[in-house]
Amino acid sequence: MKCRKCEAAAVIHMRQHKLALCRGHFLDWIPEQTQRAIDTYEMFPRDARILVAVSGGKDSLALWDVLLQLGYAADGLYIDTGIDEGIAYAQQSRLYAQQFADQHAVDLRIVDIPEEEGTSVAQAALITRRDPKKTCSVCGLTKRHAMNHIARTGRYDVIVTGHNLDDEAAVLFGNTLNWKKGYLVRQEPVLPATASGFARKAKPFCRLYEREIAAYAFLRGIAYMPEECPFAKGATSLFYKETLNRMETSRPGTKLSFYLSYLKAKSEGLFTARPEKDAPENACRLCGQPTFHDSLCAYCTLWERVRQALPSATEKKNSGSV
Amino acid sequence: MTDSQARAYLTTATFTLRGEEYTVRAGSAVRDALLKLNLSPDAYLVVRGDELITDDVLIEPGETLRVLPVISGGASTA
Repeated sequence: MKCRKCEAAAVIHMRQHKLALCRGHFLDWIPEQTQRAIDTYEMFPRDARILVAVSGGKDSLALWDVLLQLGYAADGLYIDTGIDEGIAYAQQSRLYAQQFADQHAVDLRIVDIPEEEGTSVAQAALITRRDPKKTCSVCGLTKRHAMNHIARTGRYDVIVTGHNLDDEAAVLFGNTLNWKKGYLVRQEPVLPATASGFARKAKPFCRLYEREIAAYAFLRGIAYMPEECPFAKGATSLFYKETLNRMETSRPGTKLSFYLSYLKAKSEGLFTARPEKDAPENACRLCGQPTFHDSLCAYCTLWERVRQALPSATEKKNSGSV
Repeated sequence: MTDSQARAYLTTATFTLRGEEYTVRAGSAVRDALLKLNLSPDAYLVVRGDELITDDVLIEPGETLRVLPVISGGASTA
C-alpha cells in the first residue's frame, strides 16, 4: 500500500479515514490532527501554560511530545501512586516519564503519594476496606485531586490528558450500557475551569485512535512503560475496547462515529445538564478544593481514614501535604 | 534441514507477540494472519525489521514479524 500523499510505502492504513500514509507524512499528520482538535473544541490558546498529566505510558508521553513539537509551553506532572505489585509498576513508569523530560529538557513535576500521604493508593484501598478491584477508583480520585492541586498552585491554564478516541469510546460505551446520565453529561473533549476551583481540562487526542498513537510513539522512538497497570487486568474498560475493536474491524469508522455522533447529539440537546449538580460550591475544610460535601472532599475523607489507620502517615501529612 | 523443515520454512512465517511465537502462513496478508489468530487488526501494529507495515502486506516465507498490542490503560469513568 502506498502513501496517499507521496507514493512511498505506507506505514499505516487508517481505514476509518480511507487514508494510508508513509512515515514522514504520518508524523506530520498526528500533530496536525491534534492542533485541529485543540482549535475545534477551543481547548486552550497558543500562549497557554499547559500541565500534561503523564503516566509513563504511550498516550501521555506522545501527547507531551506532540505539544512540544507544536510549540506549546508544556510541563509534565507525574503522580507516583506507589503501586508495585511485584513489578515496581509506579517506579518504572516514573523512570519513563523522567527519561522523556530529561531528553527534551522540560520540567516534570512529581507528586509522590506514599511520601505525601504515608502509603500507596493500593494500600489505601485495602485500609479503607474497599474491594481490591476498586483500587482504580482510589487511584482516580487521588490523581484528580493531585492534578487539580498542582494546576492551581502552579498557575497552569489547563491540564491535558492523553485520553484517545478508544478511551473515550469505551467510557461512552460503558456509560451508555448502564445509562449513567451524570457521567454522560460530563464527558467532553474539554471541561472548563469552575469558579469553585476546578482547573480546566482538555483531551487533545480525543479524535485519534489508540492504534495511531501507538504508531506515532513507535515511529518517534518514544520509550514508554509497556506494561499495563497490574490493577487494570480484567478491567471492564478493556473489555469494552476489545468489543469496539471487533466492531471496528467489521465496520471501519464505528468508534469514531459513535463518539462524534454522541458529541453532536449532546450539542443539539440530548441531555440537559442539572446545573446544581455540576458546580460544587463548597470548599473542603482541609484542602480547600471544591466539593459537594459540607466539610471534607472525597479525597480528604478517604485519606483521613487512611491516616487514622496509619499513625506514621499523620506525622508526614502534618509536615507538608499535597 | 529435513524435507519437512524445509517445507515449513517455505510455507510459514512467525509472529512474535508478548514473548510468544505464533506460526502463520507465508503468502497471506498480515490482516488475514491476525484474524486467523483471532486478533483484531485494529488492536495491533506489525513491525518488519524496524519499520511498521500495513496489514495488506504479504508475509514472506521464513520471516519473523513483531506484533505490538496497542491497548493500554485501566478503568476510568469519565
